[in-house]
Amino acid sequence: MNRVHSRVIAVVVSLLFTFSMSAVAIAAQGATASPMAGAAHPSHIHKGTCAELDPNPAYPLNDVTQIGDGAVASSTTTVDVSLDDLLASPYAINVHKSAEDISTYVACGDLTGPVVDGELVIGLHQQSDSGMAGVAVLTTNDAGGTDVTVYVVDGLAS
Amino acid sequence: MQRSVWRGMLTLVLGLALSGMTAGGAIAQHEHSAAAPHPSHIHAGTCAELDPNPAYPLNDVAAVAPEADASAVEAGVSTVDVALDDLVAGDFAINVHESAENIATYIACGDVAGPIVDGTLVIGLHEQSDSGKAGVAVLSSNDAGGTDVTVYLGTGLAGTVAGTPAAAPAATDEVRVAIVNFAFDAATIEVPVGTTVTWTNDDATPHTATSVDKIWDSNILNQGESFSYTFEEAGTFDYLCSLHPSMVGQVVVTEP
Repeated sequence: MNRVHSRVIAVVVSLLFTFSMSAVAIAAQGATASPMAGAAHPSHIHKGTCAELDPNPAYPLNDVTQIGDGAVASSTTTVDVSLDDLLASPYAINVHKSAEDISTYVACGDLTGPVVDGELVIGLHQQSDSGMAGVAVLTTNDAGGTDVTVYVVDGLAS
Repeated sequence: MQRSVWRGMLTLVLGLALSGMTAGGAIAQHEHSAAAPHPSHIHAGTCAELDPNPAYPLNDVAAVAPEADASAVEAGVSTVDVALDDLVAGDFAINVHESAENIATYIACGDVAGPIVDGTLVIGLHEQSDSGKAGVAVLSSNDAGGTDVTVYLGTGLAGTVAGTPAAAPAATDEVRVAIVNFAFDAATIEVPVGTTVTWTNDDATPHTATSVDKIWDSNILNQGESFSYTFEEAGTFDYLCSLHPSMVGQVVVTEP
């Protein structure tokens, strides 16, 4: 009887393992289906506007990377410049396709608009028919610099 | 953020009251003006198949300041009494309506689905009804077990800024890279063919700017010394400081 129980348990465990592995495989398949999987998009604050951009980055931002296996990519960076200074002359946030294809811009937004309680939110507009767009949130921090959070969504501009 | 947007919305309401404007008037002036508050809700279902009855109301998505023009990003901040895990476990969507007067017209929608990282889920809000509006919603678990929801809505994000062509590298003859605090101050630069890049060491410590592929080598640059190299071919060129290899940089040379 004990032997029968052991066999039943072994079969159940085997089935559960097979099922769980299948689920993992399906989940992994779903993850790789995302066009943004593994993509890291270099991002910078440039002088100028999206229409007329100085190609030399003024302030580097951390790469905008995919959140999990979702369609949204984000980055958070602290730059050593005040939000007031960023608004005093034309600047833009530019997101590149990749380090290998850095000359292709996928989203861009001019740093302009109302600052409310030390915070500016701008739109990041699609570039190069990337299908990507989003927003950036710039917040004055206690050190006098600016915290910059970039959100870009794949397919938002499709 | 929550406090700031609330203050912005309060300021907006006061501004409208003082100026004698009504939301309806603003809508008449510009169909999708930043001044028109957009009702927003979490609905059961998906954007493709939405239950029209709101499951959880959100605060209106509105201009963050009275002076915001129609191109500025609008926002709304809310707290809902449901756990983020429960929202993700069921089928829910965030739906933004054109206005209270035109509640049947949806202008942006996003399914509440995706990976939760550190208690936060970020979703895209896709354009509906050719509204020209799209954006992002950030949903974060709060200490009370509920969910804080911030909705950002932009205008014309699918197009390049103000209908202008995509940015292209400007033609410049010379680009300068300073070496300071054990780093190249512009770690990645993008220049057209024919550009001369000049590295100047502003550190008290000697450094170099040395091509990884041995294309150029500044040799040792003491404080205040410079080295220039003209890029005649397109490509991506990695370089480093041979004395401090953790100091790296990249020059991307594009066709003019």
